[in-house]
Amino acid sequence: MLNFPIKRNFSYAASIFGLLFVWQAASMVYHNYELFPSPVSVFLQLIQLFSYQNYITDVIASLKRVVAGFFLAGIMGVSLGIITGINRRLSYIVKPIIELLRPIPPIAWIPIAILLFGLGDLPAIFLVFLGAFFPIFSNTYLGVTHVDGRYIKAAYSLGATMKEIVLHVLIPSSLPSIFIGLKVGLGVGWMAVIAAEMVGAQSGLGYSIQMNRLLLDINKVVSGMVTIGVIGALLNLLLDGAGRKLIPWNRT
Amino acid sequence: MIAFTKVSKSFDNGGKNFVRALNEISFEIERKEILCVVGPSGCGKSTIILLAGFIVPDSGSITVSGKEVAGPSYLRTVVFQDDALFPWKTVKDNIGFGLRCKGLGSNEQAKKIRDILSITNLGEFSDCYPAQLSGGMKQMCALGRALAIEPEIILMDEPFASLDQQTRDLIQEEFLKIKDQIAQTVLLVTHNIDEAIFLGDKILVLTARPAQIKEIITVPFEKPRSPDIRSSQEFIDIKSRIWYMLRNDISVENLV
Repeated sequence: MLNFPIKRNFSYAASIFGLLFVWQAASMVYHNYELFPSPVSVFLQLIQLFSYQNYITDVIASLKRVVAGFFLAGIMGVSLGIITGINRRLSYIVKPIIELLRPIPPIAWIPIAILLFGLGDLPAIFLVFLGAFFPIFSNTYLGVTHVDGRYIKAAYSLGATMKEIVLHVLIPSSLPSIFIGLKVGLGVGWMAVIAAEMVGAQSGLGYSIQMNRLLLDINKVVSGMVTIGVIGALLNLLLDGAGRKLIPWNRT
Repeated sequence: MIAFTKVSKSFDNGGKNFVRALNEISFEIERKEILCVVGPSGCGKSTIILLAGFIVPDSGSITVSGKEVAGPSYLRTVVFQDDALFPWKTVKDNIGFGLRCKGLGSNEQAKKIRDILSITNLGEFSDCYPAQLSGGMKQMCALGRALAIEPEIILMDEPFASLDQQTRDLIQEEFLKIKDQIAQTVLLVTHNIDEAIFLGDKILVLTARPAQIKEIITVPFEKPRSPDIRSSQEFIDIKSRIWYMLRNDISVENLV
């Protein structure tokens, strides 16, 4: 299977080109480039947009908010997930609250977020935090509570104390699950930031899309969507790479 | 050194499944001895291992060097059937885990790990993860991890059962060699009569549930043992004697 990665990369490229081809064909059939821009015109638009300082500022503003909210959600979700996973009595208190808050989509929090934090960075960071926290917490909790009992028994019979069981058994064995939570959380966080910016910010990719919608510049709207998609996919790749580094025993 | 005195244990799985696993078991293990426990399938052999600290007997007492057993301890470490190596630790970190728990300094840890790697022949795999090892090597690593902390007794629960026959024979020989070097006390539970005779100084034969002691056989072969004894007449005689004892207790009901 030496040629496997080459084969895989080839099919990745083919699949993306296939999507672009279908898009191009559809826009040619529709034949109204104002309402349904083609990939070529979006590509040209993107080159132009990235030469503007404004657009780069918007991209950086969104990224900054995602990173801040995701970072907070990661720290709180992982630590709360571990603590409630270990302490059953605490989980009886925390779990019902989480289960009630989790179904509320981040978008529904927007009015409250704006009332609480005004316009700007804070409400967006808050929404990213809300979007990312729940999947991170749930997957961490799941990982910690589903550790194979054999490992705990083995550790006890090798003389481990509770502290060593937590640090050397519970946490490392939950890492694959924690990472799934982080990946899902980052995805949801990235979606949440765009939603927040469409309503309550004066910068960012969401704000840019909203502005161009009002100006009926669909070409720029779609360019913004493409930027969001590509950056989201890159963030995901980045996290995958970090996961492989941090979890070298998990080769699946 | 280790004494079970009239130990009984039942399991009550929600009222309907009341199972009497052990019934007034009494035996002793001498220091540096290998005691093998054989019995019909499902007779409660593994319960003896659990009693090393994970569960409490209903009645009777278990003492190690005169002290009553209470809770799991590194003094009675367990080697499980399916190795139970930590998948997230390399071979040398698995072996070092108990040493770290014991609070050894890093130099002492490193020295002990080197010793264990060399007696288990795992030197060149010290940085591998368990998933990269063969079944036999994993079991050697699990044994090494237990040996490293120098427990009073090593409890082995069907340790070689998941290996194929060839690997199993080889690893039994390897195990005896290591045992000669480190002179440990071992309690080994197995369903494999050959294994019990080849490894054991004494063999404890249990009855079907609730398990009682049928007989304690002293294995006559001198140590170190050569693999050739497996085909000797004496070996075959002991084997058929144990098999005869067991088959009286194995009925179709017990298999279901």
